[in-house]
Amino acid sequence: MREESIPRNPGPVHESYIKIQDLNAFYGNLQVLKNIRLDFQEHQVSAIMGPSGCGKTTLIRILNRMNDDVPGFHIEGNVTIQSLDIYGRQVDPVLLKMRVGMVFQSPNPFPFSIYENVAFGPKIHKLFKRKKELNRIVKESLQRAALWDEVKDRLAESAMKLSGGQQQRLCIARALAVQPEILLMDEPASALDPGSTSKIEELIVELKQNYTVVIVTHNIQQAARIADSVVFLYKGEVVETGRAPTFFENPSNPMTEKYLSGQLSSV
Amino acid sequence: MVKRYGDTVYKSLTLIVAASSILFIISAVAVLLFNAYPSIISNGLGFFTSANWNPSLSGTVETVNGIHRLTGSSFGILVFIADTLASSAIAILLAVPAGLGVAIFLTEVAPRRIAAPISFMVEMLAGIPSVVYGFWGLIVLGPYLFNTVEPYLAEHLSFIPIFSGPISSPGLLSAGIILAIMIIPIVASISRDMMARTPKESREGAKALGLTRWEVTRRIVLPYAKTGIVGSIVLGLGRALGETMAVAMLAGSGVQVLPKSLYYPFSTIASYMVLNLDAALTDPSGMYLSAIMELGLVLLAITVTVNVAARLLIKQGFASSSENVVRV
Amino acid sequence: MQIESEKDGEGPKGSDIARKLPWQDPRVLFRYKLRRLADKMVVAVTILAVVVVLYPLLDILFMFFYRGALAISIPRLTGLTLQFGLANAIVGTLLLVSLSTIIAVPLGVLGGIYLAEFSAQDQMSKTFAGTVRFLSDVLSGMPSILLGYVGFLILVIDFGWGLSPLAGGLILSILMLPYVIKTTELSIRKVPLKLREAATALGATKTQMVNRMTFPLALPGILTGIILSMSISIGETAPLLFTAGFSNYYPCGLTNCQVGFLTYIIYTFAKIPTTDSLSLAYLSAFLLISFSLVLNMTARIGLRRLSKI
Ligand SMILES: Nc1ncnc2c1ncn2[C@@H]1O[C@H](COP(=O)(O)OP(=O)(O)OP(=O)(O)O)[C@@H](O)[C@H]1O
Ligand SMILES: [Mg+2]
Repeated sequence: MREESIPRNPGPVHESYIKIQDLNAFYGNLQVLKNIRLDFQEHQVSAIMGPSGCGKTTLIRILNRMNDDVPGFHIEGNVTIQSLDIYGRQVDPVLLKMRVGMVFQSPNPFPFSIYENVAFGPKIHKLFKRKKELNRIVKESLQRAALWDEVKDRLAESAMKLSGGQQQRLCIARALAVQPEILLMDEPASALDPGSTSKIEELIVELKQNYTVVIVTHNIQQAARIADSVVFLYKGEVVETGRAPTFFENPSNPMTEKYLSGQLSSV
Repeated sequence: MVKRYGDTVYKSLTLIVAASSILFIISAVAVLLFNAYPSIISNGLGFFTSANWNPSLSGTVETVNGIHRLTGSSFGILVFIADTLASSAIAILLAVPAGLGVAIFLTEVAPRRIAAPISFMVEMLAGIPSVVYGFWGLIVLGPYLFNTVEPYLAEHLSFIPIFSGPISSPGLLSAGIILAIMIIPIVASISRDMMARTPKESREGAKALGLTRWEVTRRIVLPYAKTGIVGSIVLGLGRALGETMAVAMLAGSGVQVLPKSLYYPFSTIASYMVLNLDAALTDPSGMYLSAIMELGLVLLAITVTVNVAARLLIKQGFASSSENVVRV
Repeated sequence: MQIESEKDGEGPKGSDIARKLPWQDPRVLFRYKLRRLADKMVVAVTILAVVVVLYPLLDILFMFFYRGALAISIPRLTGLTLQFGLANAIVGTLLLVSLSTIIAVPLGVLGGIYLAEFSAQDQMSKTFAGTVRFLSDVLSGMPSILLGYVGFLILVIDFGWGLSPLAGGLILSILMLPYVIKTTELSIRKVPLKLREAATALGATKTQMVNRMTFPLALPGILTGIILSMSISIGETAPLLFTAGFSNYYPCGLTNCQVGFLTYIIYTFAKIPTTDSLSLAYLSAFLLISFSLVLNMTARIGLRRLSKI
């Protein structure tokens, strides 16, 4: 594996951390992403927006090679993380997922206890020597996911008993427990009530101190609240990218303006 | 009013017909019980605890407590029970890893265009009549085991009691292997259906944590499908316990001794029943036939229990589409 | 479990660089290599399982198709078993399957209609339907040899039908019944509720609704179930030995006349090591496998579609 030999380069904060060049993506013959060029910066929250069916999920799933197993799916172009071509032959897609964690649209905890859900990844990868260390990882992950206080007395209970918002934060803790560098989130709050949503939003802002976050969202207010940079995708193409406040205040493309004013609901 | 009258007639008609399957079962059980009655009374508990099955057809008719039987006859079914259980156990031991291996290959490993034809072929195994399996066992598998595999096993594994000789004829092992081949499609296709029902969300959640394919299978898919898989194995067991023709064709003369090794000749309950009706009819006292009917009741009790357990397990593990097409 | 919280304003950059991430840890990577090896080995084992399972199938198909094809000849196909021909057995098998189908289909289909359409009306119907479903599962799990004995004692002896097509056909039909009932119920239940409601809303009686609406729509599914049950009855042997007997001649009547059938030829002639007998057994096996595989696989493909909701 090449990854072992590449030194981790902290570099200047503004170097593009994830770089997508001339990316085309297909399901069979159907092209769903066209000529994507994008840069995501380290320790920032980058939001991907766009009407339903425009390819947001596809784009984000390309970043940890989740789509590799989808029959008929293939891409052209280049995706690098810290100059490492993640579709290069020397990259193992399983190992890549340790580095690039993912949280899904609807909460999907495993039917185990709360503790076991978080301990699952560390146990698989054997990230600890003693049980004590595992306990620490679990606690730390739950704390980072802002769930610890709510569940610390019921760690042995089934994760299925938690509320939707708690389940989603548990899934975030589960992803954090394997200590990724990058966290991908596909509409993580779309299935949640406003209270849980604002909790998750706060959490995401916290997380960017330690992680690089790429998030898909439909919610314009949400993106404005949490994102450092925004990408607007339409029919598989990047229409506009920008830094957060300017993007929302002065969109340069009329299409973006239309979307932001709610006139573009789907493709 | 006329309309509703028509509906009532229609409903009653279908109801009566639906009841007929109940009627068939009840009358079958009644016939077995009625005919087994003399044996149940006359042989008592010894029927289950003795390994001595001797119809003693040269004996004369004697009457004890109003029940006729031949002098010197003795009916103990331990040998049949032991052979039935042993051959089914061998079958399960072989079929479970093979069937699960196939199921894992079909759901987790193979791409669709390979999985579909293989799946089709595995189901073809279930469509071959059991008498054909018996024929194949008789001319291909039996001789091969007898001439090649069994001598080899006896030579190299004789330190394990069940593998030590002597080798006389195609024995328990051949029955076990034939039964295994027959139940593999049951285990494989139901397990496959159950595994395929694992929610995509759980699979992806695990995959996103960096689990390998096998880890996803072991930690997520197999636990999810567990009940259904156990159900498929129990259903296969039910089929193996009741299988008749394939085993009967391999059973040969049906020497009745408790099996001590894999090479012992054997007689399962079902194979004994199919091979010995004619002999039973020559017993003028009728006790031989009655004892076979009691043997049939025992087989019925075993297979019904096992099947009911299997159906309950499979229902719990969600209804499987294969379950409906499996002849047990 | 005493740890300091990351949230308390600790410099994120500093801690981040010091943190050794798992994907850089040589021990984790080494372990991953082992895990990947395990994965590859499991894949190899499953492929091995497939090979081991398909080997007997291919051997059986190849052997019986090859030897069966070699055994094909006009006298063997048109002659009586008396002269080492199969004509009477082929006719007998067709007769037995037709008889059993004629008996099983109306019973099974009407029973299935009851379960699908009338069983949810009140508590008693529900209990009754549950019992029928349960017992028909039991029936399908019952070793067929038991029905052979029952058939022999009741139909052959008590009813005085003798070893005959009718006794054999009736016993086969009981074996088929659970499958016909089950697939009928499934097929009817698959007909969308909306369509039925629409029909009743137009003033149709339940009978009209079932006969004109549900039944025609469910018919393809019901037919697959019938085909499946026919494939089961064509391959049966054990119960027929005691109810149908065997005859070297063509069937001569429905009762008190033994009838030949293909599975009997295999069962008996396979054990006789002469060329004539074995050829006949091979040819029977060839015909039987062809018939029952075609029926069985047709039904399975249909049923798989049916079971997808
Ligand atoms: N597995 C698949 N096979 C074929 N086409 C697919 C598949 N998944 C998605 N698509 C198609 O690709 C396009 C992009 O889908 P994608 O899920 O990326 O959209 P999205 O922007 O995430 O939409 P939403 O906001 O509704 O989640 C859509 O037209 C969709 O129909
Ligand atoms: Mg999406």
